[in-house]
Amino acid sequence: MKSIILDLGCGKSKYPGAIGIDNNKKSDADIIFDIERGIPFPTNQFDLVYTSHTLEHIDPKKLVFILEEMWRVTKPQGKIIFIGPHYTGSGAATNPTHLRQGFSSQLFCYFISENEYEKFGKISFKVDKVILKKGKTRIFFVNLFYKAIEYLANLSPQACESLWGYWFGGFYEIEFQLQPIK
Amino acid sequence: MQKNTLDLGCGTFKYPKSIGIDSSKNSDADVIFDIQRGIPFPTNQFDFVYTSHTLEHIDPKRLVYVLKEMHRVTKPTGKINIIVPHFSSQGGPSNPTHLRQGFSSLLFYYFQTTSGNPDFGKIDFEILKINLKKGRTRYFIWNWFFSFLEFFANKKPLFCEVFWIYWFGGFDEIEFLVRPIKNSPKHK
Repeated sequence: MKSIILDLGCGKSKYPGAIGIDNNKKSDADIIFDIERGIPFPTNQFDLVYTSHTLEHIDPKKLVFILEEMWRVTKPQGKIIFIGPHYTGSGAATNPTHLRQGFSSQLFCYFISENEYEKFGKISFKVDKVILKKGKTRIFFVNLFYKAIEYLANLSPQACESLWGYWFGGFYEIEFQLQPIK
Repeated sequence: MQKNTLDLGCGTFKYPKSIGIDSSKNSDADVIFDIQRGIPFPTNQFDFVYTSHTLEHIDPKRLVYVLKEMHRVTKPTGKINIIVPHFSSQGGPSNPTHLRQGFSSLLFYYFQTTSGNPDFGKIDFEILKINLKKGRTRYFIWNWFFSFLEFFANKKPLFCEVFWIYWFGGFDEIEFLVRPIKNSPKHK
């Protein structure tokens, strides 16, 4: 059976085989819609919900709502992949359309905090994997060095962020691989 | 005489014996109110205004207004205690409800600048203490090391921020203890 994939904010590089949503008419989206108003699909619809470099462009007040919407439309066995700028990277602070300047590995802790999250116990995510990534350059040896740094960082992204995240110029990207807990 | 204390955004950890304000009904607040609309108390009311991990959750466009409201409700002899994430922290960018990701030791410098600050000369704060804090771990050795870092950072928070703040993973929190300056000749 073919898996059904959703790409939020697909732009012009839509995830292969995905249904794309974007608010820009010039994108490759199948549906032109502003996800700040929600995800226009029924509950438990998708095997994979993918979003890359989109959630930093939305109104920060809407971020929790959109994460909840992503949780809602993903099947219980489905997966969520969320890629965004890392807060230590220069890219996060570079783009003038970024309304949030980056994400940390502890983003999804919010949903398991009884004191902070109003829907605590109803909505949460299982974080399968967090990957910090450096950018790539044209120089082979630099890329090799970056690979080594990424390897060390991803042994414990939390330890990296809280101790040595800035030692080598920060990280460009963070990727979360999640499952909705339903 | 009993001290009059106000806790802004008290959540479920209200400052002992204070009057708590929070926008959430699930909090321990005595007054359910959104402080972005102001602080619903008369001028010069409180000896101590406390706010911990709240100002990063309000609309950034309302931040100066809320600081002005804190200045207003605090007695001339009173103190204001603000605890927020530091800009170098991991926690600042972690929480998806943070509308501002951190603060620096020079926050109150804004009120002393003439350019861009329409309230110059009317509202000012005297900084009594600035404290950078690292989080704590389960390990005694790490905690000892963090105390050591805090000691050096707080000798001169600004020097730390402009020179070595990122060497050891940044600082989690910044705490300000300030006094509102009212009715001085300069501030008439």
